[in-house]
Amino acid sequence: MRRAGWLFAGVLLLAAAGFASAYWAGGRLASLGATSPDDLDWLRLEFHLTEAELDRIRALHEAYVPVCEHNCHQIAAAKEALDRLLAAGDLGDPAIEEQLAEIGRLRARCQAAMLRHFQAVSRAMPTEPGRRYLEAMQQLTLHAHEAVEHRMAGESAEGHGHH
Amino acid sequence: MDMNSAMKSEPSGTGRDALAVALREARPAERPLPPQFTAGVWRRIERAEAAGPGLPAWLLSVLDAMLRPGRIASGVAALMLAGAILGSVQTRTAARETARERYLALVAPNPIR
Repeated sequence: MRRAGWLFAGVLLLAAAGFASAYWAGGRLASLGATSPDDLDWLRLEFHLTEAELDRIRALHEAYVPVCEHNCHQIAAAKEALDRLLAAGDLGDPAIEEQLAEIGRLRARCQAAMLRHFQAVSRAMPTEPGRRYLEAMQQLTLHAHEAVEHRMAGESAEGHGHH
Repeated sequence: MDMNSAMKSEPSGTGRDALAVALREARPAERPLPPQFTAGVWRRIERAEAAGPGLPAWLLSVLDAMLRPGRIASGVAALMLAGAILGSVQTRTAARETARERYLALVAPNPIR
């Protein structure tokens, strides 16, 4: 029955080769239709939008991107200014608190602009996809730091318990 | 009567003949051997010799059941279909995730997230 063992090993090898080649071919075929350089590809794929809906959203998107870039540059510049103040070494300098407040103000302005844009995009979609989109984007805009804050709050409470 | 004595009683016969005699003489005369009994015994001996010491009987029966051309062909075909589906689904999922990251990088940059 040694022959059966070899035969079985050959069949296993054949099956593995068949699986691997089919996996590769399936991936290649799928990538032919999936890859596109369009920035709005995710919206099209995830929310099943028509070309007309996508065109409306594209107009909103193209108007919003420069605003977003401007806000980002302002936040980045404010953070660099804060870094310089911190590097000076005097942590009691009131300018540090003012700079932190400025960063907070710029972030809030950026978040407000994002929310307005997301709402406009959601209204350009059919009702249900629009609701899903807005929910996801609000989560991203407002609640991204919640996990960190919850964890810190938990650690803080635990720490106080030990004191 | 054992096999050795049966073989000795037929010095010119083959091993197969000796086995037949031994099997016949080992049973009472009033209970004849079933048809093809001797052939069955030889088949089992040959199978056991060919199997060698490494393969247990249950594995032999599993291999025997699996190594049929029809089953091999359908098994390989099923694996290839599964591979093609899995490859396609995983590629699409990865492409969607890349597209999502690209979109979010434009509308919700990291300083805010």
